[in-house]
Amino acid sequence: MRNRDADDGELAQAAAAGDQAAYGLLVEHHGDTARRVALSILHDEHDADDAAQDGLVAAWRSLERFDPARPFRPWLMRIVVNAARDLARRRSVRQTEMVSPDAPATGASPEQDTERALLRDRLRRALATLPERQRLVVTLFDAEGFSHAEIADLMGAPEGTVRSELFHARRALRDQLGTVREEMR
Amino acid sequence: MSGINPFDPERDPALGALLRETLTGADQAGFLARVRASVALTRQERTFDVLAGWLRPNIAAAAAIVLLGVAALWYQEAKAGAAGTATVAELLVSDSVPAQEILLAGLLEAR
Repeated sequence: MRNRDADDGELAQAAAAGDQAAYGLLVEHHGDTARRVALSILHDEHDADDAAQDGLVAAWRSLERFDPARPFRPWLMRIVVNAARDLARRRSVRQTEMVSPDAPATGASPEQDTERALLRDRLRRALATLPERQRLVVTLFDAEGFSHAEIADLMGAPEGTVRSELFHARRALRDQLGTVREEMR
Repeated sequence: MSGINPFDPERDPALGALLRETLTGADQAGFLARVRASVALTRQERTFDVLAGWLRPNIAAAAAIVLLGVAALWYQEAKAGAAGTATVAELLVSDSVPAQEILLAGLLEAR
């Protein structure tokens, strides 16, 4: 992670000097995270892609304001989160389900694949019932590897609040996902 | 998945993997291509641009204030000037004794 931060810092400095190829690499490194974070806020995949793109372009425009002494990823994700929240405010929330169009092939048995698909479906539904902050916190922490402190900084909230939101999110997910295996039997 | 421990301060790799699978969108290459295209069309903001954007309305406001001030000063001077140009006759009939220079200036101006 340390090397990644250092690489990101160098790429960000090059990009801030106008190097589009350097920024292209940063987008390649963090584009998938940006999409997932936006989708955790917006539910709709197309809206999430629009927001992630808006955020990534906004970050490019304002790269000169990035402090290279600090890690790049939380700075970038803060902009993506703001773009997603802005889009959520501007658009009426469409009650479409989150899309996972191409369920990755796992190479597992058909039973395991079926169970995995059921878990994904259940997780989509469970996430949709969580408040936005809890969805965001559990995604950033468990899926994207952000620290509590980074999430707190990114959300402008105390670290204790982040821990509490994470606790509630995990408990709700455990309650809603826990029965899948029993249902499979 | 029932093994999610809400109290665990460490990351839950199983939950993390499932979240990534669930939230990862399709056609990552297409998405990256769209972002790169947008970036190519977007100019970066420079400090000068930001300052210029901030300064433009402020310069306009400052210019308006200066113009108003100049106009107010001109008006006051014009008003004071009008009040100060009493005729020699007015000075002679007034109760106060006019200063010699003012009287002389008035007479010279009259010629």
